[in-house]
Amino acid sequence: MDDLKKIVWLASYPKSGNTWFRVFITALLHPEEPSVDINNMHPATIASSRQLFDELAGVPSADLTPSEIRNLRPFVYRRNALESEEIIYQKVHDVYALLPNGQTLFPADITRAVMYFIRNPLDVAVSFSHHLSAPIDKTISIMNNPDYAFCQRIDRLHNQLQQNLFTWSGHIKSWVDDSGLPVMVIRYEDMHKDPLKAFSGALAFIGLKKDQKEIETAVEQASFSNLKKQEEEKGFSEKSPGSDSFFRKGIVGDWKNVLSKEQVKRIVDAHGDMMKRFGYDVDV
Amino acid sequence: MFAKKKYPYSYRAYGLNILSQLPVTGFEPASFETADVHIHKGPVPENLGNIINQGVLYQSNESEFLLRMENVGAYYVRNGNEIIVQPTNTASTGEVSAFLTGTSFGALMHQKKLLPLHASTVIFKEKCLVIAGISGAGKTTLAAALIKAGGTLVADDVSVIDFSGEKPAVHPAFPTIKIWEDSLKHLDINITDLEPVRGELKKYYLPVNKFNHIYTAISHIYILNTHNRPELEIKSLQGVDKFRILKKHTYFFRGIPKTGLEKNHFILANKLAVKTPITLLTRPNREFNTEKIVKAISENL
Repeated sequence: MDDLKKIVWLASYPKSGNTWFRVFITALLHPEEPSVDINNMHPATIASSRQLFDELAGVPSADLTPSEIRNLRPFVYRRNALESEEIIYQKVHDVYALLPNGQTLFPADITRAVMYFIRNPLDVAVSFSHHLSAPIDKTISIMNNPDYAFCQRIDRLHNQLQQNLFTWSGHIKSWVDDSGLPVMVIRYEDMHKDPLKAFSGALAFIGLKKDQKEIETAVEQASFSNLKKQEEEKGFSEKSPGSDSFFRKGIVGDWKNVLSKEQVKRIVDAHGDMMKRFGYDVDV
Repeated sequence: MFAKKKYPYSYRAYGLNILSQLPVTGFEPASFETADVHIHKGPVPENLGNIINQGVLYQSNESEFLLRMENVGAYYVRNGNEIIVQPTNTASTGEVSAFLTGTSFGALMHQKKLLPLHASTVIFKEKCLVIAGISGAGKTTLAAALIKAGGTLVADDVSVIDFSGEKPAVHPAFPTIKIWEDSLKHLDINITDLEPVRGELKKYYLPVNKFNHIYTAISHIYILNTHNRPELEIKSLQGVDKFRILKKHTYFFRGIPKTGLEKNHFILANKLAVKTPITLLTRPNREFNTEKIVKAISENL
């Protein structure tokens, strides 16, 4: 592959269907494996992996300042693209960003496509609160906080690099409106309603040609019941330590059973415009 | 006296006599007749003439290694016996030393055809324990906890294997560890007066007075891991898995492929694998209960 545009960013706010898609793509690209293993996906790492950075940069990020790390990250991804002989499907939760050194965190010259996953923020709040082992109210505050980031303490070594998330709406805006990259938005709800259609659409956008039968098989392997069964049997390495399971319910509209009126209002007040734009009902 | 003028600093680290034109934070002063390594201050080449391996910040081949850190300085390591450092005007001694004692010496060890592991080493209850692991696994914190429980330090972060005796040992590195504020608090160690590794980070050089200078054969290699389950898991490795894990935890392995060093590494790692028990020690990632791990290691000895 001569073209450097080898990276497909699988970008999303947390708990929006990113992992589901990664399982699907792993199953699709590795039909030789009898069943997809959720603990051995390709690539196994997230873009904010400390190991990925250390390996490709050549110095330990543990001795670098947060701003040095941020400025170096685009070069690390470019190096990764340069050394790879195939397309890299790279999961990422960071917002898209312009850096102080004039680079962009996820450079256009190595980007083949962005799959941006969106889920109704009312359901995200429920799922994310389980993931964070935090109360719903605190989770909503996080989703409304433009300064929120994963792994931002500077008095300890996190297993991942700092990831700025912005607000739920701010996250979407950064990738969909501001990045200038070729972005396809996929709604979790559409993946749920008709996975074959949603995943086929994504493959067409990426330019990956597979026949109907191969796609159907991969969709089946990535079915929620299969993922949940695997996690129950063998655990899932990406589950957060405080939560009971990663693949929890996998349903649409669970917020109706969980959120209070006030909680719904806080989310709709903060994100109503973006919700309407992506077809989520705000008159609730 | 000429040498003293030209090289005001002399140290012993990783089993090597080092003469230096720059002070090195963490290294132990020493006096000796002949030097194994010279550290010079001066201009560093823009690029290597023959680049075999490279990353974002470095280039390397069998006998040369070049590292450029924009805010700290550039480092050129050659022939396993010379390091040229070109610091920036603003970098502190601690900052310049961070990439010298770790990354640059790691590359120098490969050039010398030695085996550096990404590991900390401690003598605990008269046993030499090597604790390897990826960055963030908790090698340094566990080493500090073992020292607090009566152990002595041999090496922090980079452990160079010494094959000169009947059994493999670790060359005593230097009596300092680099440790985060969170771990210092956890271990009840006072932060006042500690020199920061980088101005912006809450990570410090901690001098360790319990340092081991004596050749001590390795009793056990532990690979420290984390998982999202609540239990501490201990699993002994056998056969080819031992070699694989040593390869994975070789310091700066990326500089080796496609050079003559690759075959040398294979031989040394195999030799170590055959002669040493290796155990996976997997701790919960949610909490780092060092007392529990120290207890588990004591029982496993």
